[in-house]
Amino acid sequence: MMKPELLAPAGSLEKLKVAVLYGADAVFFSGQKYSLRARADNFTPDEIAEGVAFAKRRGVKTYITLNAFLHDEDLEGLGDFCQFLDAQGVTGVIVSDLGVIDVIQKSSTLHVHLSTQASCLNSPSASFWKSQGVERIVLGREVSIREAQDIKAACGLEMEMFTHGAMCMAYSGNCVISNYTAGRDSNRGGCIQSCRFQYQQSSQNRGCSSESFFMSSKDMSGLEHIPDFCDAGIDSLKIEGRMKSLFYVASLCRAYRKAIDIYTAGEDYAAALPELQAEVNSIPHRDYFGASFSKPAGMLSVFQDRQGTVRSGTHQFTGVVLEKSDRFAAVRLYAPMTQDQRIEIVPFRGEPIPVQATQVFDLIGNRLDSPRQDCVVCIPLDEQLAKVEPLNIVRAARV
Amino acid sequence: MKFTTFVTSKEDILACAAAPNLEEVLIEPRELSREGRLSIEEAQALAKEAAQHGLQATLVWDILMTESEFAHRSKLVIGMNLDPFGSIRTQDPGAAMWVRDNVPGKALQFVVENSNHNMPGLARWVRELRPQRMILSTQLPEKKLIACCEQLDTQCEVLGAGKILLFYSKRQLLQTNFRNDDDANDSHWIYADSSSEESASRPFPTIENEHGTFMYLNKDHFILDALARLDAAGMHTIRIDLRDLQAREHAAQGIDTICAMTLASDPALDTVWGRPTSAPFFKRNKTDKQFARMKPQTRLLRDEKCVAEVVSVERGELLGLYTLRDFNMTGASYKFVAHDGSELQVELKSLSDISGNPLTVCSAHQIVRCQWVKGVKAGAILVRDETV
Repeated sequence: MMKPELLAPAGSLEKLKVAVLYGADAVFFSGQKYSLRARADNFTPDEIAEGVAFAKRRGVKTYITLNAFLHDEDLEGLGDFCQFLDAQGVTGVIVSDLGVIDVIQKSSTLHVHLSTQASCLNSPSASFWKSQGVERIVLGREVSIREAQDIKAACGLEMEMFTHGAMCMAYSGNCVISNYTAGRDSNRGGCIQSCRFQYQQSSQNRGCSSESFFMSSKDMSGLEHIPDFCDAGIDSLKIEGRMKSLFYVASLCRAYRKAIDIYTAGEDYAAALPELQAEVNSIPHRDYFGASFSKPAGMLSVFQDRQGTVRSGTHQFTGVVLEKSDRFAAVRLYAPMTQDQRIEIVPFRGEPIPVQATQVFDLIGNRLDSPRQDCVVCIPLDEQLAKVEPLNIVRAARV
Repeated sequence: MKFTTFVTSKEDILACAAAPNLEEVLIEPRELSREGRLSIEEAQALAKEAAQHGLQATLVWDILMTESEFAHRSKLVIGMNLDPFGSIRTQDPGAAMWVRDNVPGKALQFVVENSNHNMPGLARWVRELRPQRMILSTQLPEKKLIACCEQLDTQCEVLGAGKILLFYSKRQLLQTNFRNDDDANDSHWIYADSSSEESASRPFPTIENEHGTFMYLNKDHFILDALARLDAAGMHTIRIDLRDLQAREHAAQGIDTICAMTLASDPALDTVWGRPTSAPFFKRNKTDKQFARMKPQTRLLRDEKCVAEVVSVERGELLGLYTLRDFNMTGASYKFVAHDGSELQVELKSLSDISGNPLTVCSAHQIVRCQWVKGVKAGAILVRDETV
């Protein structure tokens, strides 16, 4: 059985490393320009070089997003950047704009994947992009798994599908609310997420009014559909979220790595599913739904709650292990800890390691009762913690 | 310069026939067009009617389609009598390819309204699809529209007046709040105004029909009073969209007057338009200008000179640095750079690892302790200062 690639978001170099170490087969990230996440940290040229080298050493592929729709003046420097990417040995680039493809092909030998932003939804469209030198299609999120299989059979290109994360409510690339209301081009990385706002509505022909988040989509989760993706021969399963946390990246890579491995090894996937779902429920998320994987997203796909009630997840992101000495694991805290808090250090493989943090110290060696966030604490190693490694995630079950 | 507009009735055809410089009408079947209301039969009959009045009919097939929908819609098109239509207008590249390959006798008009804004891309669409006409974006400023007219080897069209589509979703998003089983006449259509918390004074017209949900700007695009330079550059067609300015059974009533006033540069033109108007990007498009301010100032400094990040501050005692690369303390000067870009030059002292061992050379990816520096906060970066 074909094993699909697990493709993870890397909004920063640290996230790239976490994604790789937690089991991604490939990562996608961007430089400071030309992509759709202007607010993400993104990578400097130095960081791109380091990230690509880090991934290559571990056999992990790297895709650079160049998926903004550019105006003529934005194209300046793109050719040089493509040559730089080519020299680094990136696996491919993810592109939406035919003009960008033109520049890439004239300046480099980079493999071109079509971004979901181009909303490729059917096989004649895929055939067009194939004729333009595209080697993989990241399908629009309106496409079902069955349709993706048919498109692949018809055009012979690799198919990539989003399998987890937040969703545009519009056909990708077909929402310009930000452009007209905030002066920020959504198709050049400036989306203000108008779809997450609350709207007051009145209907002329239905004679009533309403207040709702009618444009806010629930998050997609394809965990239940892993067997369908694999059986359909989908080449790459993508996790959305370059703006999301290290915790998000680590947890989803762990869950989907396990899911793909279990199913393709012929193990009992149904039996494994509850544990996998628990892992994806550990992170903050909106309610999950099955996107259009098996049937078109309907009325129940709207996330009606206020943004503030995004599910907080079963676990809190406590920190990340930065270094391990012979005596301590040094953890950078992203949330405060309480006295004697029970935490879990999540290894790259295997079960989380529970830790009763009765003794934690600051960098001076002072014992701390309730460490604040944005600091480093040292946790003494014992036999159980011997296998802790740098970039392991630390989490705590929410009470 | 020609005009084009949508039609839904014989009365519309008569108005178009009376309109100066209008030789083409846009006909939208319900099953193929985002806002179509006509059955296939009605669309064909209207196209014939148009031909009898010397007007070319363009079949509008501008919905986006997944694979299964595409199979269904393309069968409909194959089953249609396309004789009365001179051209077919598509947005989905799949539909464009299909028209080119399966209906070779019909000219293709290709919509690139939202997101094709550079000349290499536009030129390549023209080269690859060989369309009769490109329907250009309202986000292109006048200067770029002129360049398109001059450089693209095909006809160009832009919206002269009419509503601006902000949002197109396949999902039917209004029926949750506005479902009404008793509404028999217009059962597939729901009309609403939607105001967000951030735009309370700007209710956006929103429509749901069988193709999904569409939201429009509260003001119509309007450049009919500024067409001289586009005309001189060779803009082939100006589209005038009157669909939402009249009773729903018509779409082009008054088009003859609007076209005549436009050609005469009548100063009363903008006052006769029935809705507030705007052309936010016609002079210039600055929708990328805020991006530089959206990131911490330190972000772009994370190059080879950036050696560490402050990860812990023990006030009055020490700083914890996480090293990003190997660096040597001797023979170099360093400065801290805060999120806001402010800089603080320092002489680093008392470097040690987390076990307390003194360091002069630091390796990448380790925690290094140094003296506390007043004003330095977690998240600041340590940069080799080459100005010293």
